[in-house]
Amino acid sequence: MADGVVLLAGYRRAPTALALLWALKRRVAEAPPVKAVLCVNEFSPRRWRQWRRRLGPEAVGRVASALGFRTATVHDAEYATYRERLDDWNVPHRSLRRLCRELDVPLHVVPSLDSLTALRLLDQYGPRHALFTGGGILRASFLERVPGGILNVHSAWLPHVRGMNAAEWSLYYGMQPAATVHLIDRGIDTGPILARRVVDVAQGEQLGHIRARVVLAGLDLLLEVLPAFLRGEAAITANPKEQGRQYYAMAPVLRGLVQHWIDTGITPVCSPEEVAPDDPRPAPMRFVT
Amino acid sequence: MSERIRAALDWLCASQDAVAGGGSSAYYVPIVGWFPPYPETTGYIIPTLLRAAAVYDYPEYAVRALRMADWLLALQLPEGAFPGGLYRPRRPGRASVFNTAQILLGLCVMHVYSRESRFHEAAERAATWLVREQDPDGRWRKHAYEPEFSPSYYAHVCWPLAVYGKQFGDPEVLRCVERGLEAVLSDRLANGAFVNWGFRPGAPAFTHTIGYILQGLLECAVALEAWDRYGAPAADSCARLLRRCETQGRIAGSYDADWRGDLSFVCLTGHCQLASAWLRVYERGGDPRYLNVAAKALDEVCRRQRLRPGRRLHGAIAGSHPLYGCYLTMRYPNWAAKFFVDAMLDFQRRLDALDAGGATHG
Repeated sequence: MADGVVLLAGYRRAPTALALLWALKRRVAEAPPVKAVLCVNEFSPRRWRQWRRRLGPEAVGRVASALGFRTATVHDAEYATYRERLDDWNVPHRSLRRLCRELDVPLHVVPSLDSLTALRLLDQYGPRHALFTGGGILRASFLERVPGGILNVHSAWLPHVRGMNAAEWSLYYGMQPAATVHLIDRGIDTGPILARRVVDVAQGEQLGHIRARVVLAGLDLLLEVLPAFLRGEAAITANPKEQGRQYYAMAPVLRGLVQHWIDTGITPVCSPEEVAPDDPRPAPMRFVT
Repeated sequence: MSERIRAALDWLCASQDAVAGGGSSAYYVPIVGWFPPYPETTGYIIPTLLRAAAVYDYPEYAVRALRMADWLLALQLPEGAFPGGLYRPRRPGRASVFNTAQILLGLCVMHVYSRESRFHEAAERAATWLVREQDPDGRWRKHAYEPEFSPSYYAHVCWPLAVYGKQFGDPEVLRCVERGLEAVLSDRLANGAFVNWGFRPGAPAFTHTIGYILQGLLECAVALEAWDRYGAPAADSCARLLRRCETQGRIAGSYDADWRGDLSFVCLTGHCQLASAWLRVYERGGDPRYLNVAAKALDEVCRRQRLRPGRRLHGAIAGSHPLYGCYLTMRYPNWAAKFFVDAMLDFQRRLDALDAGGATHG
């Protein structure tokens, strides 16, 4: 068995980090010990710049929502879905600080995952593996300190759709949304693949809801493959960089278009180019009723 | 979306009504008011108005474009060139290569619309003058904004010439275009930037002049059906700019030759021009990342557009945001509204096509 993992979180109320930590401690029998949680300080100027860069003018509403304030943003559906999962699993707290205290796991709030503080903490704990739920792009200095690899859940079928808003870009192409569990390497979503799972979409479903369901499906998949991976028994698939593209945050007008397609039951046709024969992308999207 | 386009068009109409003769006022300055008409930008506003007249089935825009073209014909110099600078009746401007080319574009499009030979004749004289003034190495050093300086944004001189050459089947003009484009491409650096892409030698370039270069090359590539030679290098620069904008989270107001951007302001005109360039690349290859970044650029301009119905600035777009930014400080130029309308119409067309046909993996 491995010598423990470190959990990486993007902010202190990150629902995926809360769910993953709770599952590792209370729900999964073969789970590795969690040595510590490293959480990026969402109040640092650097972090705010990253949020603004990723989300543009919506950053304020999104961050406020993530911090627990009631906001009327398009992401309400996403956070409601996460909250449902936390309620289903009886996660007792909505902040990592409180949950870590209850579970007796050290929590360290760091300025960024590239900071010296974070790197020193890694040296101190010496984890063989890490689980990533957010916190920005990891640099080589961080990756080198986790010899067994860092696992991440990506919200699309790799290698085809990399980068941000991957669930939305999958839907743009009429591909069935999917979650991929993969190892992080120096590229953007280019690390070896451990497992993939498609997620059904219902006509009229909100994009935020789909996003959250994809992430949660990925979380479940991660918990399923984690024991085998830690034993060194997981099948690993290549993730050829040339087969995919890196996408960026989707503009509101395109999100509106994708939502319109979902509302009206349009499934844009994706052509089979760029798909390797031994690695078919998920079937073109079909709505479930 | 169309409300904003209509507001910008209304503002362009107001800029025409604000001055006598039929030209479009160069810009509006708060407190000071409207400035004299600008022949260069009046020239390239003509295609915008004619296109809007067709899209919205609103003939008044075409009538206004015709008045603009009539006004421009009266300004043509005996040698065929058009004067640079703002129009001042008592102080006629000197011949200008760049301005003549932009007016040439308006004349070509007006000829297609009206079929009147006077526009063809004026266009022919302008094109002949431009060919004559070109140096053997493809550059135009005389009649420049900066003496003896032939900037890379003269790609936007080649585009009207290419339109003229194709429209009237003039091989000499097309050879002139090819020489001009080769000169521009010789300014291109390995990192996708251009040596002389600003208004002055070695100066950082506003996104406005970057837009001129990219649009000039891309439109020439389409007109000459030579994408690999002229379009692909411009598309590569577009891709580099896209990546920079997406990872930085915003488009800078200007860039130096190492792509170091000045983020203290945004050049709203440049936003619209870059959006049009990205949309052209999207149309060519179907990569939605270009559509996406164009949408974001136009989103930002929409947020900065003045919308106060009944007020003088309704529909206007400033040169810079903030208004005191480096490009056209405290001014609302007519070409910002022009490029905004062009880009928005381009975007709307692509979005309508996408909505009708769905996306394909390009």
